[in-house]
Amino acid sequence: MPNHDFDKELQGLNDRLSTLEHRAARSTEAFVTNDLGVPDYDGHRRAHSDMIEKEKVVTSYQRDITKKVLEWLTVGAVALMGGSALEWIKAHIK
Amino acid sequence: MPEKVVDSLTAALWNTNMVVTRLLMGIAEFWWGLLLLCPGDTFGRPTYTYMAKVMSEEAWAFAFLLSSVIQVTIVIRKDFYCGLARYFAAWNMVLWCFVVGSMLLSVSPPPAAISAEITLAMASIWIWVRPFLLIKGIERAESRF
Repeated sequence: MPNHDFDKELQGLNDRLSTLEHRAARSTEAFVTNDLGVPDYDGHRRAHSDMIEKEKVVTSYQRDITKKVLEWLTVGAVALMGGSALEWIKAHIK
Repeated sequence: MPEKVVDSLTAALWNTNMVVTRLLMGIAEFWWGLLLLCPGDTFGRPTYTYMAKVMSEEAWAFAFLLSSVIQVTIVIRKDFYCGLARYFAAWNMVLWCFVVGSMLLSVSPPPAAISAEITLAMASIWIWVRPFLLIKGIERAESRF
């Protein structure tokens, strides 16, 4: 049977547990407290979920504007080239 | 329009602070000011007919040099959305658009050498209008949730 130093092992476990307790306490500080006075985990999740959805709307809006800018630039370039082409044709027909 | 192109351009137009564009505009404004201060009648050329009607060469040079200093100051301070930066963006847009518009209207056919100025005028419009569009997009998102 292996020779166990139970006191030493217990002390080690105690130290690890203390570290985990300390980390858990620090983690809860990242959350605001709700009306019950406890960390608002669900509110935090919903806030993130809302932010992600809002970001999707803003990104979609930005894509729409980018498309419009590209369309305007294309129309402007085509109009300019079309005008120049017409001038060129008129000059060569004469 | 291919989605990949739109994605790339969306990132280029929206997800940058356009610091290099601003810096290039500041350098271009500096050169405009410096070249206008060179001895000789620059505004005697037909390209500058409308600009000459508005102000003298020295006054335009001062406007460009002042714009250059403010532009570079904004870049150095990295404060692109403060009150000064926003009002300056409006002024800068007016300056570049007027200069480009006046040169295009002064001569026919339009001078090809101002293609860089046209690009900078477009950039100045974008720098001015982007915050307003962004606020509108955020408001749209806020109203949905």
